[in-house]
Amino acid sequence: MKVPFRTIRSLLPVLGVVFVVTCLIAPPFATAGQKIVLDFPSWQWGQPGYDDFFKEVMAAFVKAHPDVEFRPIPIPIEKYADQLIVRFSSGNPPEIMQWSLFDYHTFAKAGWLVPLDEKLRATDILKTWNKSFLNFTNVDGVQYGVMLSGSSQMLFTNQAMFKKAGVSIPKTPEELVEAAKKLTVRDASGRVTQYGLSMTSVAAPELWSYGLARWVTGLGGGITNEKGIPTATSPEVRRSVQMMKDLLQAGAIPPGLGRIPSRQAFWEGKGAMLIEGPWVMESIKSQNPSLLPSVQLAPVPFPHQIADASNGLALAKGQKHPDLAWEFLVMATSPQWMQRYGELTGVIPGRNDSISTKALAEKPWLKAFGQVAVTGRPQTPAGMEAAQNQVYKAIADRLSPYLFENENLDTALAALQKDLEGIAKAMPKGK
Amino acid sequence: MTLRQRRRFLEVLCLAPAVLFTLALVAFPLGWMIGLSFQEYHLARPFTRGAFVGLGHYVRLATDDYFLNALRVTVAYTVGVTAVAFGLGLVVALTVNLRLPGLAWAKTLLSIPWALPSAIAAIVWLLLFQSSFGVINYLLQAVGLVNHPIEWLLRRDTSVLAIMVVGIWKVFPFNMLVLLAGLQAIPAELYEAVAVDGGGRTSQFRFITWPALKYVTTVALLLTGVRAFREFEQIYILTGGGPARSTETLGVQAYVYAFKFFDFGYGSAIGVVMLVISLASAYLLVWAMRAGEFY
Repeated sequence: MKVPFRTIRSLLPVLGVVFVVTCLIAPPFATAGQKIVLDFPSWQWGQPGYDDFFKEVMAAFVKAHPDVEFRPIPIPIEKYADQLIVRFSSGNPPEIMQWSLFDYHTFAKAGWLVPLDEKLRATDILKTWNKSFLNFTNVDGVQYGVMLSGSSQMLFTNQAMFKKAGVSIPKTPEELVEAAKKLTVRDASGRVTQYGLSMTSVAAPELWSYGLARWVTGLGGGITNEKGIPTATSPEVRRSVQMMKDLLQAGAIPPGLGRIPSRQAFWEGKGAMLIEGPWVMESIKSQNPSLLPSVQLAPVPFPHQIADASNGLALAKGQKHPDLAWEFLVMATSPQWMQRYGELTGVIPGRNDSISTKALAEKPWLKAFGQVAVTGRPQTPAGMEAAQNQVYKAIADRLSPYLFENENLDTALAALQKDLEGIAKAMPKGK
Repeated sequence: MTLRQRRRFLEVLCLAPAVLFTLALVAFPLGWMIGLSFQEYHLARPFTRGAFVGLGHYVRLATDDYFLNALRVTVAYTVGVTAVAFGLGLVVALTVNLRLPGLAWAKTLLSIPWALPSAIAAIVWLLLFQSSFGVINYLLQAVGLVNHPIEWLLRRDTSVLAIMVVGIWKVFPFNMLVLLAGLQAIPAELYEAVAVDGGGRTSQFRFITWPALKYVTTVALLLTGVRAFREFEQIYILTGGGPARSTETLGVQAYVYAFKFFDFGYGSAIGVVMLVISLASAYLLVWAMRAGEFY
């Protein structure tokens, strides 16, 4: 059906009125547009502690810059890299650029981050930051980011369960396995009602990054050596995988739990032990405070302690307000705000000696985690940081048929080694 | 400008936004993806990014065991889900069409899976299938069907079954509704004529119901097949393509290569192959239906 031209023409005044009304109600948006808006995507919006910290820093920043406002953009961690890739690819990078350890090296190698060495030399960051954190943020000899916090690991134990089972805190890998078995409880029908060790146990990349990597690192190994050469068939990897299989077969590890459900199983009283970072204490406090008196921390029962990168800030290339973004980064990483970071989040700040007396009084466990942060070994695969996702997927693909089915371990490790060598070969070399 | 020209100009003006949106949201990304599939485009390899590699990615696909595995998984998933969802939808539609008391409620309840967002449905099933604390294992153990919990999403054989069950559960209501609409459009007089000729229920189905449903069958099979072929969300949430790539469909693989491995060139090539297979299958199905005098 054709609409008569006259009818369309008669609609024009109506459209004109709509246009004028729209312009009249637009001022609030127009006013907001006059301010400098700094986009701040993060997966930590809404997370207690982190959300509070960023809001406090932003408020302080806005006080000093009344013409600035922040636009927090919450993105789930699983989608974070995807969303940032879209923003960078479309020429719309965020002003406040937060990175996680999984994507930092890739973004740096993609040329999306501003080299910070010159700027950093004008601050105290290079002198006052944890050395292993600075090593992580160094990509091919260039610093592209500043780490806000690291993730040191300790053994969480439920002492009520330990006492009931007559088990003492394990100090060696063998004792860990034995303790986990003794702490596993079944009901009359044989169904497990209490697991000895709560641990990430899925057939997915998390299997390594939140599970097995801690054991291998604690034993002194890694999936690559210092030169970046894959070491999937090393004794440390083999021993760790065998220990996990042993515990799975004994029913001491709940199969199929991702990183969050495995933490949840501990704080809900379904697991007697857990190897995790300090944030779990905050979760216990908020989710099941009645468990706190039973929780005792101990060093991980391995020859080496474990500490790694977590997340930080960088400057995105091609953004509209690099000076303001840099000023924000400097402010957030200043001694005052790093102390506040520790107080609010309950994790170890990137800046050395930033755990305040107040934080220690409220969260005494931070002292132990802080010591591990300095002495611990990193679990990120050296030389393959920019291919972490690919490495972790290969590990899950090759090891899950051994762990959850009956494939031969030698076959699995040999296939994994071959996969990793292929990934290493395709890795971009330094500049 | 004549009145006719002005009218034409206005028509073009009114159409322009829709055309521009279509170009911007469909044609441009599609063209971009096809272009990327001929380039080396890896985020972590800035020095080679954008280099023209011709058919390089497609040659690699032809010899890539993981890609060939994903192709097999996708075909098995698509055929399995489409066939079972259609069969189940037909049986339920025929039952609901009997118009017995209470069946209207059953129809509403059975439609719920179709209405649920895929992500939410997948998360619910993820919890149901969970090895240690999942309800499915609990019930199976409670009634004595199994002695030990089944690790549904950790084993290669059971994980394939699990994703297909969820896929069928999600799309069979659509088949049921489409077929039910087709059934209700068949005039009752036709059935009466068969009955007068001495035909029973089997004859009614063979000579009246099935031929009358052929058009809606095409629609149901085509839409279910295309949906199953490009299924991503449910599978990715349930298994992420694992264990050991046993549930890695082409959609999941394309996403993993592009957004997890940051290899957009290769990921795009997988996407282009998916597009070609999808279009060719749809064309073949419609052609086969026409050849069979369905219209």
